Amino acid sequence: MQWLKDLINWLCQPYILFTVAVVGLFASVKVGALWSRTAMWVGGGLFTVLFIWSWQDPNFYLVVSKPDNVPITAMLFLIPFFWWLAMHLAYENDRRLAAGQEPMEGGDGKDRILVWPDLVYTEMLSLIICTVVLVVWSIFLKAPIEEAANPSKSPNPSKAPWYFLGLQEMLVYFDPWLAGVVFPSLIIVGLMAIPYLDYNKKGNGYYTFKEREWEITTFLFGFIVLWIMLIIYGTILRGPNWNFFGPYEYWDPHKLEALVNVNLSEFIYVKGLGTGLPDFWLWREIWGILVVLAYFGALPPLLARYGAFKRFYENMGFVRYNTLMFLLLSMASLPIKMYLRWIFNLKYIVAIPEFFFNI
Amino acid sequence: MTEDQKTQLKAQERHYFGGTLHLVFAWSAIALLGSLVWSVMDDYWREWKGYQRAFHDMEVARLKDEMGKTQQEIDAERRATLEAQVEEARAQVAVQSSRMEEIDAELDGMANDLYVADQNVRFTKALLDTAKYEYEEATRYHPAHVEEARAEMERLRDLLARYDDENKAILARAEALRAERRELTAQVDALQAELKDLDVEVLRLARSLEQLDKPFAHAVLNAPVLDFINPTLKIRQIVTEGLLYDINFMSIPRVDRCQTCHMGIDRDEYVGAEQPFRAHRNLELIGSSASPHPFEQIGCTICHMGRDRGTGFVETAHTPDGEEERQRWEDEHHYHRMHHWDNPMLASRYVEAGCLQCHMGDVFIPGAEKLSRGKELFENLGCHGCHKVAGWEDLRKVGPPLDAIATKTDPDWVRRWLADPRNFRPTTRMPQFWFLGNSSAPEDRVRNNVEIDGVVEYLFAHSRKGRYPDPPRGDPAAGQRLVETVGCHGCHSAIGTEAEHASADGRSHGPNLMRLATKTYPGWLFQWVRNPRNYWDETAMPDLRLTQREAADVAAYLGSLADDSWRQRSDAYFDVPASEVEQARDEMVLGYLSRKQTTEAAQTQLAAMSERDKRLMVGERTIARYGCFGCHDIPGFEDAQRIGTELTTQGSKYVDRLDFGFVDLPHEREAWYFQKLKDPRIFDQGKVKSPDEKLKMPQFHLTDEEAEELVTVLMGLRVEEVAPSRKKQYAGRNQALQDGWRLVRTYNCTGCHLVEERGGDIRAWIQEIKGREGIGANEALAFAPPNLHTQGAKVQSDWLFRFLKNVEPIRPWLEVRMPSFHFDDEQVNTLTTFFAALEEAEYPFQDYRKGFSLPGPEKALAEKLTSRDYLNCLSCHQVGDRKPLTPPDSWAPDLALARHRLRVDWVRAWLQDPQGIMPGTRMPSFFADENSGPPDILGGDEGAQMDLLARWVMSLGDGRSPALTPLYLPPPPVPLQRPAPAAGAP
Repeated sequence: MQWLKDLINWLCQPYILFTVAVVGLFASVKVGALWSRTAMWVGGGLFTVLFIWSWQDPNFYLVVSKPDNVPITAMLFLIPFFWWLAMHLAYENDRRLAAGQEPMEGGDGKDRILVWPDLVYTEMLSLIICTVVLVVWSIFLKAPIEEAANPSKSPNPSKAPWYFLGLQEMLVYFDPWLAGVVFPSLIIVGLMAIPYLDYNKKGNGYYTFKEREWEITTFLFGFIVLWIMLIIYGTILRGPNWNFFGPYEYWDPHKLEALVNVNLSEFIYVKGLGTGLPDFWLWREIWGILVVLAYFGALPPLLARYGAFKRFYENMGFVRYNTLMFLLLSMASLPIKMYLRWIFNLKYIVAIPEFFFNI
Repeated sequence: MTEDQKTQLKAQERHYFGGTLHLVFAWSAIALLGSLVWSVMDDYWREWKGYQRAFHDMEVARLKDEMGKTQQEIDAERRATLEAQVEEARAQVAVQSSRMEEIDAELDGMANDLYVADQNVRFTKALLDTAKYEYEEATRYHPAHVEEARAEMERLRDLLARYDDENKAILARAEALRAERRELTAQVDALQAELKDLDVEVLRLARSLEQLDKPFAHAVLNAPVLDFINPTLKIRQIVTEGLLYDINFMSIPRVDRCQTCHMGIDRDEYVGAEQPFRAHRNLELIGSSASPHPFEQIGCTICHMGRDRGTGFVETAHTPDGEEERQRWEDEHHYHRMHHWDNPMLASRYVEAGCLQCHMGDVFIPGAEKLSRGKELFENLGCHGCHKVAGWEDLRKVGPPLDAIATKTDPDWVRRWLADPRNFRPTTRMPQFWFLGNSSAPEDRVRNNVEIDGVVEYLFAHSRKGRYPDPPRGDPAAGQRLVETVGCHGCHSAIGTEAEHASADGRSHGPNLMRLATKTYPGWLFQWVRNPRNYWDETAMPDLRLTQREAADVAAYLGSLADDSWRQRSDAYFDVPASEVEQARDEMVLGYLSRKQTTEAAQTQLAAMSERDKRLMVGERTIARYGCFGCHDIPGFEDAQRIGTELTTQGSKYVDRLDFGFVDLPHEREAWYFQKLKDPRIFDQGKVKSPDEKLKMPQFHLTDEEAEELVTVLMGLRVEEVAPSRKKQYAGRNQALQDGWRLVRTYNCTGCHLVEERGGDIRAWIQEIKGREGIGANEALAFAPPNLHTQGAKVQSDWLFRFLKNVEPIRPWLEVRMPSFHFDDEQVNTLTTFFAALEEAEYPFQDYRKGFSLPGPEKALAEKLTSRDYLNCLSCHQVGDRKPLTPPDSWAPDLALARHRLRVDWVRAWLQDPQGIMPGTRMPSFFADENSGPPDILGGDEGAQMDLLARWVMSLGDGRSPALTPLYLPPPPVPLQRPAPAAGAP
C-alpha cells in the first residue's frame, strides 16, 4: 500500500492540496447528491477506514496521537459532519421550497419557540455531555506540558495553539504585521460587518443554499479553506522548521528547503530591466506600491460594472460596496499571494526592510 | 382561546422536547456521575499511593517479625523469676494493706483542700498585683484615695501570707503521706522497673507498630475524597537549599519527591530490598544523616538528574541501563522516555557523573572510581588540547614538543607513525588521524598521503637541525641490567619483547620502549637518558643520575631494541602511485589558493611554487585543521586556539544540538557521546562532504570501559546548578591534597611508591626480577621503593623539602633509585604540604633545631637496650660510619639521619607497630604487646622504653643539617653537530 501513501503524500503538498480544496469547495456545494445521507455514510465510512489504516503508520500515528493534537484529529471528523449536516438540511429545504412547501423549521412556532423547555433543556444536556467528555478526556490524556521555556532553545517546530495555526500558516506568505495583526483584525471586523453588508433577507431562521448561494460559498471559502484547512495543515503537515511533510513522512529536522524567493522589485529591475536595484527605497518599491494601490483602489470600481458585483453596487451603495470589496480583496489576497509564491517564488510585492514594512 | 390555539401551543411546547430527550438526560446524568467517581478513583489509585501501601505493609510485617525475634531473645527464665518476685513483693505489701488504705483515704480526703488552698494563693496574688497598681496610680494622680488604696493593699498582703502558710502546711502533709506510701511499695516498684528494662526493645517496637498498624483509622484517613484532610499516604518531598533547577530565566530550588516511592532509601533495614524500596548503596557515604551527603540536605536529583517534582515512573524521567532493563520497564511500568525533559536521570552505568559538579577539583573522587578513571583518562589522552573545559584550561600538553624532532628521528619514521601510531606502539596514547571511517576511500587514501607528507615536511622544516654526537660505546647487557633494576619499570611497564608489549595493560605512564632503535638516533637516546630536560623541559621523565658510563650502557641496550617488522606492515598505507599523490597535492594547493582569487590566477601561482612549498603549505593547513598543537608544541602554532567544541557544559547540551546524521542510535546524549568516542568519524556516514568539511576528531581506539568512563565525565560537565557554598570547598588542606595528588600523578610517584594504598606498580616487577634470583615474593618487597604511608607524619617537612631538591640515598640496599625530578620550589612545597596534609601533621615546620640529647644515665640505658643482648638494633641499622657486619642488602636506614629526617612522635609509633605502618617491612615488632619489652630495663615498662628509644634515635648523628647545595648537577645540554650530508632528509 506504499503507493497509496506516496500518492497521499504527494497530494498533500501545499499547492496541490490548496488547489484541490478550492476547486473542490466551489464544485461540491453545487452538487446536491454529495449532501445526501448515502453520501455521508459512504464518504464518512471511507474516510474513517482511511484514517484507521493511516493510524498504523508510525509517522502518522506520532503526529495524530499527540495530546496536543487531539482537537484537530476530532476536527477531521466533526467539521465535515456539521458541514454536511448544514448542507443536507439546506438542500432538503431547497427541495421543499421548490415544491412550494414551507421549510422544515417553519412547521410550528414560525419565528419563535419557548425558552423552557426547548432551549434550556438542550443546553443543559449539552453542558452535561461536554463535562463528561472533558472529565474522561482529562483522565486519559495528561496535560501536554513541556519543559521550562528556554529563550535559547525554542521548540522545533514552534507551533501556535491549534486555533491560531491558520494564522501561523499565513506567516509563510505574509509579513508578521500583516499575518499577525492586520488580517486577524480584519477577520473580526469583517465578521462584525456582515449584518450591515448583507442585504439578502432570505434564509432567516431556516437552512437554505439556493437562496444564499453566494454568501454561503464565500463564507465556506473563508472558513473551511482559509481557516480550518490551514489549521489542519499546520498541525499535521508542518514539521520541524515549518517544513512540509506528507502525513506518512518522518519529521526530519535536518530536511532542507532551498530559500530562493525574490521580491517584485528584483523581477522588475534585475530580471526585467537589468539595471540593478535603485538605492532609494521609494524608487525601488514604487512598482509594488502601485500594484497594491491598484489592487485595492482600481479593482472595486472596475468590478462594479460586471455581474454580481454590479448587483452589489446597486443594492449596497458606494460606502457599503467599497467596505465589502476591501474585505473581500483582503481575503482573496491570501490565496493570490500563495499562488504567486508557488509559481514565481515571489517573496514580497513591496519590500521595505528599512521600515520593517513588507507586503 | 380556541381549541385550535390550545393545540398549537401544546405542539409548540413539544417542539424539540420528547421522550427520547428524557432518556438522553437520564443516561448523560449517569455518565456524569460515573465520570466524577472515576476521576476520584483515578486519584485514589495513583501509582505512588500503591507503593506507599505496599511499603506500609512491608514495614508492619517487618516490625512484627522483629518484635517476635526480640521477644524470643529475652531471657525467659529471668523474666519468670522477676515476675515471681514482683508477685511476692506485692503479697508482702498486701500484709500492710490497712495502713495503705488509710493513707489513700486521707489523700483522697485532702484533694479538695489542696485545690482550694492553691486557688486561694493564686487569686489573692492576682488581687494584690491589682491593688499595688491602684495604689501606685493613686499616689501620682488621686492623692485623695491614697490611704484607702494603701489599706486595701496591706490587707491583701496579709491575706496572701496567711493563705500561703495554709497551702504549705497542707502540701507538706500530703508529701509526707506519699513518702510513706512509696516506702511501702518500694520493692515492687524497683522490680517492675527492672522488668520494664528487660522489655524495653519490645516496647519500643510495639509503640512503632501501634502507630503504623491501624487498618481502620488509615482506611478512613486515606479514603477517596476524605483523603484531603490528613491522609497517611502523602507525597514526601525534600526542598533543597542552594541546589537549583535552572528554569532559564531564574533558578529555583529543587523539590525532590523521589522518597514518595523510594521509601526505604535511607534505611539500613532495606538494603537489597525490591525496588522501589531498596536502600541507597553505600549509606555511610551517601544518604544517612551522619554521611557527608545526607538526603535531607541534598535530595536526589542534583546528582541523579531526572524530574524532581515528578511522582510517577515515567514522569520522573527514569533512564534504563541497557536494552534489557528497558524491555522490563516497558512491561512493568509502561515505560517510555519522557520526551519533554532535557535532563533525564542518569543510567546506572553513568551515575557517577553526578559527583563531578561539586568534586571537579578532586584528582580522585572517593567512591566514584569510574569517574576518577575517566578524569584521569581525559587528562592523559589530552582531550583538553582541543576542547576547552573550565577548570582544565591550564593542564600541560600531553605530547612532546616537536621543535627539535629532526634531532631525534627521521622523516620516514614520522610518516609511518602518523599513518597508524598503534602499528608502531599498540599502547600509545597518540590517536590516529588518517585512514579512518571517513577517510579510507581510494581518493581519500591519496589525500591522506598528501597530508601526511605535508605535515612531515612542515615539522622537519621548522625543527632545530643537526644531530647529537654518537654516544660512547656501551655494554648492552650492563644496560639491560640497569634498566631492569634502576627503576625504569616504575613508569615504562613494558620495555622488552613483543609479548610483553602486547600484554601491557592499556595506557601506562611511560611508553613501551619496544622498537626504540628504529625510531631514535643513538646520540639523541644517550642525551635523553642522561638528562631528559635538556630536550624537553616539561617532561615528566626524571633524571636517574646516570653516569656517562651508565647512560652509554642504557643507550646501547635500548638501541638494541630494533624490530623493523612494523615498517612493512605500514607499507600498505603508502601504496598509492606517486603521480596521483602529486596531482592530488596540486589540487589541494589549488583549492587553498583559489579561495580568494580566480582559478586562473591560482593556477599561475601554483605553477610558480616549488614541490617543497606545496608540501609546506599542505602541512601547515593540515596541522591547523587537525590541531596537532593541542598536544605538541609546534613552531609557528604558538598562539593557535583550541580547535574543538568547548565541553564545559557538555552534560547539559541539548540532544537536538547533536548531529546524529544517519546513524541509527537512540536520541540520547549518552548514546551519542559513547558512539562519538568509539568512532569519532561515524556521523559522516552517508553525508556528502568535501574533505575540509569532514569530521576531524581522531580515533583513540578506546575500549568500551574507557569510553564509558569518558562519557561519565562528559555527563558530569553540567551548567551550574549548585550554589558555590554547597560545593566541596577547596581551601587549605583540601587544596593542598588535590595539588599534591595532581603532582603525584603527573610525575607518577605512584609508579614506584605506594601513596595512600595507590600505586606501587613497580613492586610486581621487582618481585619478578628478585624471583629470578630465588627471593620470595614477600622478601622481594624489601627491595621495592618505600611505601609512603604516614610519610607526612614521619619526616620533618624541612627534611622532605631538602630531600626532594637534593636526593640522597637512604636505603643502601636498594638498587632502584629515587630519581632527581629537578622540581622548582613551588612544586617541592606542594609535595611537602601534601604529605603533611595527608596525615594532618603539623606544617610547615616543627622546631628540631635544638635537637635531642640524652643525659648520661639515660644514654647508657638506651645503649644497653639497643645492644646485642637486647634489641640488637645495630645488626641491621647503620649509624653514621658504624656499619653492620652483614651484607649491605640486609642493612636498614642510617639512624644518624633520623635527627634531621624523622619526627619523634612517629619514631615512637613506628617502634610500637612497624607492620601496621608499613606492611612487609623488615623491622621487627619489639613492642607488639604489653609484655614484649625486656622486663629488666625501666621496670619492664614498654611505654617508657619506646620513649627512650625514640629520643635516643633522635639524638644520634653529628647534628649537622644536610647540605642545601646540590650533591648532583645534571649534565648540561650538548651542542648539536651538523649532520653528515649522507644522513640528510630522505
